[in-house]
Amino acid sequence: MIKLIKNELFKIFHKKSIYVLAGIMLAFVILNNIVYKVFYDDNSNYISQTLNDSSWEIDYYSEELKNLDINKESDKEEYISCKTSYDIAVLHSSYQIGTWQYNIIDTRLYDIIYNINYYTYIEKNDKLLKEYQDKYDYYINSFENNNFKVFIKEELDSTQKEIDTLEKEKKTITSTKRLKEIEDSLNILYIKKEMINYRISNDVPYSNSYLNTAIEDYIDTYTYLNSTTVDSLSYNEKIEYNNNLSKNATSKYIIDNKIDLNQENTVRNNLRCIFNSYEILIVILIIIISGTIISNEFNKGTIKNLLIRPYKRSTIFISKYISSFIILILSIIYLVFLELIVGGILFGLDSLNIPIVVYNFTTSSLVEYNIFTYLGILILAKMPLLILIMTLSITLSTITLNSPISIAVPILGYTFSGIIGSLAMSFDLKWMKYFPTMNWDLTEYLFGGLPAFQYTSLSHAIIISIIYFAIMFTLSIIVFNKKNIKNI
Amino acid sequence: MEILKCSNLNKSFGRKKILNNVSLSLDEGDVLGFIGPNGAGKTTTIKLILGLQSIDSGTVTICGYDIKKEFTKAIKNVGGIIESPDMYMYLSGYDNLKLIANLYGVSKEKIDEVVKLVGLEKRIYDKVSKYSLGMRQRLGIAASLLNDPKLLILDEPTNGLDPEGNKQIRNLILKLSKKGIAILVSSHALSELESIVNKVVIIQKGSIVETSTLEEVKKSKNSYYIFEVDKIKGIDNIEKISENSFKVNINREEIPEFINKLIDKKIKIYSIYEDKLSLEDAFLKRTGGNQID
Repeated sequence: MIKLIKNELFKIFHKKSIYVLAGIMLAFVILNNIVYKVFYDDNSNYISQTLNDSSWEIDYYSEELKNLDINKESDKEEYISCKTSYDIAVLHSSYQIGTWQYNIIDTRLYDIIYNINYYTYIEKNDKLLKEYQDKYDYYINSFENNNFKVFIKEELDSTQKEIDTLEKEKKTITSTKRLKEIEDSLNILYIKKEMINYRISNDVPYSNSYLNTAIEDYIDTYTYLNSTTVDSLSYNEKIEYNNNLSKNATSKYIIDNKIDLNQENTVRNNLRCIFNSYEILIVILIIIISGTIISNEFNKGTIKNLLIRPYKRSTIFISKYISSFIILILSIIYLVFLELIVGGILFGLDSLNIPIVVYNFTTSSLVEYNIFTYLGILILAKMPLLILIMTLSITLSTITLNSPISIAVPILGYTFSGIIGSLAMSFDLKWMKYFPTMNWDLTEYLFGGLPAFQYTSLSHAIIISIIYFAIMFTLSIIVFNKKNIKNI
Repeated sequence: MEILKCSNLNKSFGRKKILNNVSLSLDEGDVLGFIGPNGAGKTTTIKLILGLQSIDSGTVTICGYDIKKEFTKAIKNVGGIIESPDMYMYLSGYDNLKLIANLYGVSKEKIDEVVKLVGLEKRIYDKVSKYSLGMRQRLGIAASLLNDPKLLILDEPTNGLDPEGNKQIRNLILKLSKKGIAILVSSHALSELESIVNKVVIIQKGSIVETSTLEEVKKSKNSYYIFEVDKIKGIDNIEKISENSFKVNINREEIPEFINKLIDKKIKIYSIYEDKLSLEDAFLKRTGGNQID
């Protein structure tokens, strides 16, 4: 059998088409890496988002303002809110998107600007106006001097104030329900305080950075988790809960270790998402190889040269099957290799030292993986999908002896599997759990995760995949064994 | 030793009967000419022998092994070209041979040997897509010799060959048969094989119409003489051709005696000549004058 497999591989590697496909894969990998290189900046922000364009906002609000009359009683309210939005837009336009100043203008300055406008146009009060004006100037001054600590300290003060008030109330309260509410709020406030202190001691401003994102995510997810009880959740809410659990733990990991786990423009990230970007390439390659490995020999008449050798037909079929599988594995290795080279040239390989951190839902803890170990797990979880598609092509190739059909049908099936999945989910079609495409991707079950389609489970998915595999494989062998070599 | 034995092979495609009780056998060193018009069932018979199509009824044994029950043992002893020498066009001739050699664990020297035997040394590293049909025939023969077969099946091997190539192939077949290989050569024209076969099987519409050894045929072929006379009344055991001529099946030695008999009967003889029938015509005669092709 090894001799047969060697011969099959020899034939495959002497075809031009395989080199064309390999070339296409290389081009695709280069393109994908260039996209990451060109469109993302060093902080892994999408570059077009960092181009500040507030001019349309300014135009819009100034136009609105022209239509409003400050002297008309009915327009007054709207006028000052519009004026405030206008002022905010003007202020936005003077800072880059992603800077800490830009990020806090809305939350910290809206009230002040609103009050300035209020006391200027509606209730003319020079004393209060002066007070807000001074505060505004002080803030803008801090903006100019890049003094973000002013804002962090202010946040700390206000948080501390809230804590004090609640602690005071807690001591006097008797209602258990209210006590629970207070304790929940206090928990969140303490976390908030902890994070603010972290910002102070580690100099983390509000500008876009992985630490800023992690801090915000940590507080958001903590708030969500703190206010949610698992028992009463629907299936979709449970998935959301899981997402929050995982995000919460990874954010904490990032904060504690100061490691950017989510940086996008790295070889590590491209490898981690290798199936998101390149799965289609592997699928097309393997369909083309396996969809022709049998039918072409029949169509060209060369199958006779194979069948009159001292090997059983089933041995010949299995050799062809194994050869396809070897090509499948080689194509994945080839892609990883390409990504390492192309990505390595563009981004360097340092990112490979950063572990992949995943939240394990079964043990409720974080697990660190070396990128290549993680890749191995990912490839294993994708195997049912790839093997089923490959087997489908070979089966069609054996039964119909028609290469176009054996290539087109699996590609269509793969393309529509996503649509089929969303249909099954939106119409809640329970019986779809027996459909192969609902079961062939095991990545969502990894680390105890919940599948998007609630009626399946890991063991169910594996069994269904094996059943479909066994049916197609047996059918192919039977047909191949019985096939008459027709006269041309 | 009997190398190939087919007994009562039957094969239908749907309702259409393709083969009807086809039987033939080959011994060591035999060269069997398997003759029949296109569509008579030659290739189907060959495919049945090689297990490429299922047998409805009947048996095929190669070197004592049943092709159905002990396929690998039986097929081990066979080499052949079926229908046409289909090779991997995108590979070189040498690579094609190497692929087959790999399956038998045959050495490089053997590949070189068969290449030399068919005279393809100069072009063996070219892609098969650049070969002429004749070169592909020769490559096909080379491929079928790699495993030192005891039975060689060649389906229309002279197809596409020029007269010189045709002669080379015939010489090659003779050479191989002398080594003891049993060879089954199919063709739609017997005249091509006349000089090399020692056994002939004629197939028509799926049935064997004639099986014989070449000696038998040649004997019958040589014993027709045509006489032109003034009248044919009163002569026994003759085949009438016209009022003034007839054909008689006698040996050369019997001619003087026969002439004496005619003279006794006062018959005037104007001319006597041997009927020079080809092997093919002889067969036509024996099968009742049907056209083969």
